[in-house]
Formats: sequence, C-alpha cells, structure tokens
Amino acid sequence: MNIIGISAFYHESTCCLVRDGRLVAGAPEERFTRVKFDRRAPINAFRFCLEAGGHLSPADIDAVAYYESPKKKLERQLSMGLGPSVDPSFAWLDTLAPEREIREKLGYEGPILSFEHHQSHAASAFYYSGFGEAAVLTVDGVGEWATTTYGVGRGAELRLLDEVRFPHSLGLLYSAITDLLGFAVLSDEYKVMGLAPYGKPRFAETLRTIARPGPRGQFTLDMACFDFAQPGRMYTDTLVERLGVAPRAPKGELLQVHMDLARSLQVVLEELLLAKTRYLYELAPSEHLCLAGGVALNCVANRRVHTEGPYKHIFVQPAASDSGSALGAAALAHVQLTGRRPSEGRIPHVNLGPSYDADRIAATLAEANIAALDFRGREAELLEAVVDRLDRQQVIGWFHGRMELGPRALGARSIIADPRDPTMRDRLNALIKKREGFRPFAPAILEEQAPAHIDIHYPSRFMTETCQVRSPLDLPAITHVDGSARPQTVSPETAPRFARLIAAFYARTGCPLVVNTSFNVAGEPIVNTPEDAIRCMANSQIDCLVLEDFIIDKPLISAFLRRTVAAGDRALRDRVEAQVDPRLSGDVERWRPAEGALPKGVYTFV
Amino acid sequence: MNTKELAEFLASEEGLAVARALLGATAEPAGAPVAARPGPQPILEWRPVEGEDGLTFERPDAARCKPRRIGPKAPGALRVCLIGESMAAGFPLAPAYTPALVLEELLRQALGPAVEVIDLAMPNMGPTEQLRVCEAARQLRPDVFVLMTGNNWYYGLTIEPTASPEARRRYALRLAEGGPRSLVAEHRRQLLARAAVMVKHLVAAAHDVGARAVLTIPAVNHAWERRSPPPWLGGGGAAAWSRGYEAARRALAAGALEEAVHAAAQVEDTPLTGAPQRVRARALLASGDPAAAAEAAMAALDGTNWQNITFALPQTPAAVAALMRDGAEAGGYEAVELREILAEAIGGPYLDGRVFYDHCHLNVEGVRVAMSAVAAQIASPRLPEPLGWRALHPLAPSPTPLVAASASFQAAHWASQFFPALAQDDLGALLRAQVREALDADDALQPVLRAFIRLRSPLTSPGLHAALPQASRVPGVSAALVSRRLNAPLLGAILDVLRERGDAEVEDDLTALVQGYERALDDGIDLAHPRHQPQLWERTPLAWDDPNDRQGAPFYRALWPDSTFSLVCGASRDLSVALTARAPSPGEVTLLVNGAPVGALALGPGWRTWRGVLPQGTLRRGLNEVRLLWPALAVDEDEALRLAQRRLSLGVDADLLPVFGEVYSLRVTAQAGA
Ligand SMILES: [Fe+2]
Repeated sequence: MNIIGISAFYHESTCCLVRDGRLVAGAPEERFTRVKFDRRAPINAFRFCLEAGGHLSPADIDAVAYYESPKKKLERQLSMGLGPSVDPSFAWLDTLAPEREIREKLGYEGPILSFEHHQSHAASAFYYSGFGEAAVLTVDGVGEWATTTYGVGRGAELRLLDEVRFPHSLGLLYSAITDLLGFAVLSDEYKVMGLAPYGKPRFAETLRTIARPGPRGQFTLDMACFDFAQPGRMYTDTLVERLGVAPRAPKGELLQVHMDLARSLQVVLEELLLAKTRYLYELAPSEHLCLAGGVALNCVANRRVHTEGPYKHIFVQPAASDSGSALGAAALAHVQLTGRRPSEGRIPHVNLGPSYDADRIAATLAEANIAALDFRGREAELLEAVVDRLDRQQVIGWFHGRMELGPRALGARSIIADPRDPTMRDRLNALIKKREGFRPFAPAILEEQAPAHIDIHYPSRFMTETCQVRSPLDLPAITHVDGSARPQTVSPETAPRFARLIAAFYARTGCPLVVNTSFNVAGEPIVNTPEDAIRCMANSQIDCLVLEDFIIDKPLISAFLRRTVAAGDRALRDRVEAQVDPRLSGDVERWRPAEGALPKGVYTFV
Repeated sequence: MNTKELAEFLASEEGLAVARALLGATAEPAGAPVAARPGPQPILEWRPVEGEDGLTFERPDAARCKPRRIGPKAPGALRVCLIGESMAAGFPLAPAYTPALVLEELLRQALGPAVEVIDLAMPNMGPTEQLRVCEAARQLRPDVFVLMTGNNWYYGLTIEPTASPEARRRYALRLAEGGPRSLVAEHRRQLLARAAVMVKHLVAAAHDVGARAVLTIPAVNHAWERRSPPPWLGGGGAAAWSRGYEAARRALAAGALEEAVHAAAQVEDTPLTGAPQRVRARALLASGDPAAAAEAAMAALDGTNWQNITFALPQTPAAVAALMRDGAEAGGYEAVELREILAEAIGGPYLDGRVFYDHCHLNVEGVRVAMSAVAAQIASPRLPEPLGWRALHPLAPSPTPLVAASASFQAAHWASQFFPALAQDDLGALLRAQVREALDADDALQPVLRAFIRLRSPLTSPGLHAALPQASRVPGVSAALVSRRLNAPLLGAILDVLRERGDAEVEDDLTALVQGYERALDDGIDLAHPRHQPQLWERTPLAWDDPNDRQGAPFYRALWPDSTFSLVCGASRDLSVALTARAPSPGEVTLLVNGAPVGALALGPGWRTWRGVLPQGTLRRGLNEVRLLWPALAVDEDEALRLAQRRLSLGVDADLLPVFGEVYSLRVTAQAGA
C-alpha cells in the first residue's frame, strides 16, 4: 500500500511516501525549487516520492493524507476577523484550494484523507518513536484551533485527550517576541534561542504576567499585547510598553537588552513547557514522551523537559514543525486503512531524499572540467584525505547518500570542520554561512565516545536536545557561551560512512567529534544535488567539497564559475517585484508575485 | 449563524461563490495616487547625488550603456530623455548599440555637438514603472521626452492565473454574458482605458517641465506568426472552428491561395484567436497583395493579444495605435508613426524580417530608420527647413559585426521559444536564416554555436559546464547558452547550418552531446519534462511560474491534437519507454518515433501507463522526434464552458482551452522493461 503524506500551502511544503507502513521517501519542495520555505504545491517533492518508490505513477498511490483540516482552520480564521489588509484577495477563504491543487498540480486522482493539524503532529512523533506506548505532547503556533495538545498512544491507537486553543499559544508567543527582536517570524526563532544564553532573565517576571499558566494544562496570553490578525507585526504597542523594550530593526544592532529579553522568553517557555508535561503526566502516566510541533524545535527546552520533567525517555520528531506533519498524516492514513501501526521501530534516520551515484557525478565533473580527486572504490583513502584537510583547519562540504528530511543536516548534506580551532566559529559564521556571529555550531560526535565529552548518555541522533560539554578537550567552535552544545550522536549503524569519517578524525587527532552545520548559506535551502553543492562552494569560503567519492579542492573551482554564481545570486537578490500604481487601478488587476516568492518579512497567520 | 456554521457554509462551492460575490460588491475603490517621497528621486538605476554642482545622478556600473554620471545640463544644450521598453532599449543589440546612441549621433549631425540623449529605456518595463521613470526624469530638466512605449501596456491587465480572485469573478460575469468573445471585448476595453491613462500621464510629465513630448507609435512585425487554439465556444463552435481552420491550412499548404483566403474568412474567429487571419495573411501575401496581408496580420494580432487563450506578446494592437495617433493634437504631443516610416523604408506595407528581429524588436536597419524619423521630428523645429527621415538615414551609425552577429543569434533563440508556428518547417527555416545571418555577420559566432550544442547536455547545468566560459565572452549570448532546455528547433538549425558550411568539428560536439544523453538514458529521461518540450509556451495556462520547471508546468497538456517531444540518443540500442497519460474522451493515443508508429494506448479520464520499446531501427543518432497523436475530442463544449465559468466565479483560475490529452511522464530509458 502506497500512501503519500502532504503538508503544504502554508510553510515549507513537504511530501513523503509510506509504503506498506514503511517510510521510504520524503523531502520538502524548497530543496528542488531552491526557494526557501517554498509553500507552493509540492510538485517536485511528490514526483520525487513516486520515483523513489520505483517509478510509480499517480495511479499507484492508494491514498493521499493531508495534514490539516482546511474547514476547521477557516472557522478559526473567521473568528479572528481577518481584514483586507492581511490579504486583499481573501484567498484564505478558499478551503477547497488544497484539494484542488493536489488534483490539478500533482495530478493525483485517488482518495484524499485529511487529519487535524495537531493529530498529524502527534502522529509524526508517536508512530516513528518506536515506543509501544507513550504520552504525546504537541506545541506549535496554531493549527486549526489547537495550539497545544495532550495525547496518548498505544500500539496503533493515538488519542488526543485535551488541548489549549488559539489565541493562547506558546509558538505565537515565541514568534511575537522573535518579531519584536527584529528576526524573521517562522524562520529565525532558533536565533532567539541561540541568543538567550548571552542574557539575564530580567524580563521573565513581566513575561509571566503576559503568558500566565492556568489550571489543567492551560495558559493564557494577555491579548492586549498581541494582534495576530494584523499583517507584518504580531505584537501591539502594549507589549512594547509592558516590556519597555523598543522593537529592534531587522539587522539592527544586537544589544544586551535584546539578549536579556531572549533569555527571559526562553526561561518562561521552559517553565510553561515543564508545567504542561507535568499536566500531561497526570493524564497519561508513562515512561515515554513524544514531542512534536514547531516549539519542539527548541532543543534547549527539550533538554529541560527530558531532565526535569516526569518522563524518563523522550522522542522528538526530527522534523518537528509542519514539514514533518506529512509523516504524521501518512501514518494516520495507514492506521485508518489497515488498522495497523505503520512501523514498530524508531525511525533510524531521516535520509529520505534524493541521492546521486558516483558515476553520474563523475560524468558531470568531466563536463565541468573539474579535475576532482577520484576515490571510487577506495573509501579508507578518501576518509584519510578528508581528515588531512580537517586537520589543516579546512572547512569541508560533505555530500553523501540521501538528503536529510527536516531542518538539520546530519551527515548527508553537512558542512564539517575541526571543533578545536578557536577561530573556526567566526570563520564559519562570517565567510561560509554568512550569518550572525553569536551562534555556535553543533557537534557530530561518535556515539560510543559521547559520554566522555558531553553530558548525554543515550543516543541523540537528530540534534533535538542540548547538553553540557564536559570534554577534556578545548572545543570552542561547538561550545556555547553557557557551556552547552546541541549534539548529534553518530552511530555506525545509521550513518556508516559519516561515523567512519569521524572515527578516522578521532584516530588522527584524539578528538571524536566534528563541527556539523547544514550545507547551505544563509537564506538558501540545504543543498540537494551535486550541482547545488558545487554552486554553494563557489559562492562561499568552503575549502573543499567531498561529493560522494570525489574531493574537489577550492582551487579547482574556476574564477569564472565563482563570478557566475555570485552574479546569479545578486540578480536573485535584486529582483524587484512588480507593483501596480494605484492610479492605474480600476482597470488593473493586482500583479502578485508567485506565492513562493513573497518578500521576506511579510507574513500572516492566515 | 456562528463561525462554525459559517465555515461549514463557506467551505462549500456555493458558500465560496456567495462570499466572492459579496466581496466583489464591496470591493474598495481604487486608492489615491501615491504621493512622491520628498527630495530627489532615483531614476531607474540612477541614484541622485547632491553635490557642489547641484543635483547629479550616478549609477553603480556601466552595464547597459556608457555614461556613469548625468551632470547638470549645460547651458544651451539640448537634453533628450528616451523612455521606453525593450524595443526602445535596443534589445537584442544593447548595450553596445541602442536607439539612444543612434539618436544622439543623428541629432549631433543635425544640430551640432551640444546634444545629450539620456537612455531611460529598459527591457520588460511595465506601465507603472514607465510612469515612475517619466515623472522622476523631470528632475533632469529635459527639453524633449521621447516616449517609445506601448508594447508592454497590457502588463497586469489580463486574465492570467495570477489575477486576483475578484478579477476572475468579474471574468466569470463577462463569460456568462457572451462567452469567450466578451472576454476579448473586456480585455480590449481595459487595454484602451489603460492606454488613455498612460498617454495622458506620460505627456503630462513632459509638459510639467515645459518639455516636448514625442510619442512613437510602435510598429509590429507582420510576418511574426503565432497560432492559437480556440477556446471552448459552446454549441460545437470550437469543433467547427477547428474544422474550418484545418481546411484553410490545407488549402494554403496545397497552394490553393484563393481557397485558403476564403476558407480562413469563413472561420468564426473575430475577435478570438487570430489564427485563421494568420492563414489569410500568408495566402494574401503569397498571392501578391501585401497591403491586404498586412491588414490581415494586424487583425490576427488584435485577436490574439490577450491571455489565458494564448500568451500575449509585447505588441501594440491597432486600436491602441489609433488612440495614440488620434490623441496627438488634443493632447499636445507629437506622434511618430513607425509603421508608415518603416513601410516607406522597405518599399511596401508588409513589415517583416527586413526591419525586425522578432515580434516587436527592431533590427539594425529598423533602428536606423526609426531613429532617423525621431531625430528629424526633434530637430526640424530648430532648423530653418524641416528635415525628413531620409536625409538623416545615411548618417545613422551601425553596430560592430560582432554585436550584429550576437543580436541575430539572440533573435534566433528568442524565436525558438516564442514561435508557435503554423508548421515546424517554417520555424526551422526562420531559425536557419537567423543562424546564417549571425555567422555571416561575424564568424566569431561559430564557437558560440558549437558551445550551444555541448551545453545541451542533460548531465550538467550550463552554468557549470566547461564549454560556457569561452563562449559567453561574446556579449549578449549568455541567456541563450545557459538555458537548460534542449531546444530541439534551435539545436537542429545550428547543426544544419554548421554542417552545410562544412564545419567538421560540429560532429565532435554532437558526439559529446549524444554521449551525455546515452549516460542519462541509463538512468532514464522524462521527455515530458518542460526541458524536452520543443516549444516553451505550449503549456498549461493553469500555472504561471517559470515554464522551464515543474512549478510552471506540472504536467504536459496537449492543446493541439498532436504533441511533439525531443530525444537525443545514439541509436545504438533499443530504448524502453513508459508513457503515463490520460485524455478527457476515451480513445487511443498513438506514439510515433520519427514518423514510425511504435505503439498505442487506450486512454480514458484516469492515468494509464503503457510500456513498450522504441526499436533501434526507428531511432537516429542525434535528434529524434517522439510524437503523440491524441484521440478526437468528444466533450460537451457548453458543459466545459459552464465549468470554467463556475470556477472563475469562485475566484479560481479556469482552463478555457480544450485539452486533448495530458502526459504525466514519458520516460525513456536504456534499461529493458523499465
Ligand atoms: Fe504546526
């Protein structure tokens, strides 16, 4: 039985294929179109899933599972009183659009099952957790009405027992403060989390009066402080007054006050999350907790829930945000159609995207006249050559196997480097990732060596929790200002070549970990194809690219190519979107850019 | 009704239709004009700089033409601002050779050195930007505004899929009123209203600073052919249209010119697609009546230039040209009718490749003639005797051979994408002529053409390919080279022309290309991917993104009874093929390779897959044509129209064109039984 799970039309459209209960493929549309967070119909992702399933045709698909209920969402949107300033065309009124797009753009003709937004989140965590039974907590901005749900799973059954409803939302609270701090909503929340350790929680008291805990897992936002129905700004002047913090302009200077606010927000979020897990434990006592929803991307809070909450073991869906809901919806459809749980074991890895074989890459390199070093059939030598370069403090683009699903690069499309180099963090931030300098990088560490260096004694393969660094080594590139890190433990079972690479680095240097960050530059989706990787290298200061069995050192990339890529990038940035002069209206239809190309900073919660 | 009940209601088609109608009734009126920001304004890429010598303008680099700074106007000097679209910007000759440079040179010849022509033309400039530029240009205190615009005024007007839901609802009302013909009428009404507004505001900006406004009325290439299928017409009208059109085409092909003229006139087409008028124009031209042919060509253009039935090209319909011409006296502007002057120059009314590269862009001779006329118009009042364009024409400069060669090649690339010709032969002949013209102008184009062949590789995007850097040194050719499309028509023309010139090396390039394809065929190639479709714009109207990728063309939709795909291979082995397709009416689709039938698939409304073999014997080394012949349409036109109208009334885009069949994938692979 072939089931396609879809989450789409809001943020980062994604498709996955569950075949006979096994998750066999999945990818977000952005990786194919190269439009970050592309929310258009996932045409390429759908086709990829069909190809990965063995050249399937749409007629081979038994069901499409859609991740939310447009009708219930409309109820909530109507209750918000969204006006024309949010969307003059009222496009959100059209609840028939998702089905229509699935039919007309994906070409799918069979049955479509839809599930509720938080049900999909919950399923994305529980059914892939490997727990036979577990309590399930989902926390995000908002789906239909729910912003938080409390549930319990057992075998094939998954029940939601209670919920917190819009507008009271931890996700929206976090996004509103992200907005106030001058970062992009629905994308830069993790930057606020990264900023928090630099601050003092001096606004926590005020925030506790704005986001007040209530009985039975509830909490309330003081709605004088927020307006989720206005375009472009989530908070009101009241919030600014209450906090006494002026909104920071995007890309404006980062001051101590911003760090203090970030820290306060993080503290209050953690408190509320802990309270919620305790309430959930009353409803669903268990050793196991599953977490999903955008707020579960907050790996600092996850750690606190894990160490201080009532549950012994937790599983966080690696693609915790809406992208991963495609996985949940597909699992729910499988249960509905077969009565059986989709998979028994824990999801071993998220390498569900496309891969590219070395011979095909060789042909491309030949046409591009790039004289790469060819290590086909000689993996040990390849890894030694990579370690040579890491040890010389080079930054490596590492491209191997199937692309990861979810926001983290986990050794398939990663940038890696030596964590011991004190200058590495700044170099990576400024020259390669082209991003703010305050954030550290994550380590990928050999699982068996992890306890000797970090405060974690169980596998954490998806970078979903932080922990303290306890290493005898000095690891400035991966250690945050508060001594924490966000590790990926690397196991030879689930990431064999990546594990052998780190093992080789360990054998050479005595350091069993590398810096691991996603293979992209700021504003760009993670690379997908070998060509994306070459382009990314040409457009950054990456010293060396490992494309499967090939090593391409920077000098092999011609000046022409670097110029071409840079010019292409500039053209993209400078693209001016056509606007219509009101003098012409009446006889002019409003020209709208393609949906995926909406300018940054314009967002609505519709 | 509570929100839950309301949501329940709105989530139905009825509910959404009611909501759209209510929103339409309460739609806010047009907003007030945008107040200009105080202080100096930028003009296109020119940034204002306030310095010791007053307000000057600078731009970051000299990408488009030479000057980097516009200083204060010299006392006694004549300053001309040239504002316009791609035609005025000199595409595809720019930046080395532009109408502005030619105009400046001619005015200097006529009036002396104290003349300055500032080039404010830009390709793809829409009406809003034109107004903005014109108003900002007042800061330069020009003496004359030359307004070479009009071709792009349809931007944002039409019923394209990005139109707002409210616009679509209004189209539904028109459709209900009088069928597709009333949509054409609605478009015409909007375009004329838009043109009146544009002329008024552009001229007012010139008058505001006491400058003369010289408006050129764009001419169109009468020989530029397009064919458009008919929309659903109801009452069997589309079927009747198709029969009549086919009869006219057959007569033309058989050389029965009178019969073709007659048959084309019989097709109930006005105003609709213009395609029968195209047949008429060709027949009239062949029978030696260029004036009537030119008129028929204009009628074709007036019928075609609206969206969702065909792709509207930047061209000025006759009614807009008339509005520009007739308003001159009352509007206080001077009009230069390019159509008349170009006709004088070539000695006949039927404008064609002698003065145009493509649908609207003037070639070197076209630019020389047009700018002679503009220069004469500007100079005459300042001279004791008025000047005619013929007096200035011999003085008009020409571009270097390399620039001319590059422009011809770019024109061929453009034509290969935007020339849905009546027959493939015509496109091939046009492309071969343009490629020859490029090589004749400067043989430096030869390596560019060879690179074009290698850059069609399916393995490597042209941006990474080693053949790009050297070839892209020729100015202007990059866009054609870096396209990811196979572009079989242009590829075929280049192979033909290089071979006919005895270029032995071209076989090496073809071999490299074939090797790339053979490697890709090991994994499989989907011929229905937009990249392998020979004609870019024969695609779904239901999406409006880059038609080179799947977002722009989710799957292939056949708007004509046959479809062509291109395959490059070595013809050294059998290839497996898997076709997944569907059709609205039951019947068989036949698959042909290079004209030889290789299989048929019984089709119905759901996707079905046929697997078969393309036998080695049917294949050729190099370019192959894979064709699908669709079953005849048996669809109730009235029902189809009702459906389209229903969708539009919901604010949803609708397909007004009959679709003979759809291809989800057409996968060819070297593996057996794939
Ligand atoms: Fe969510």
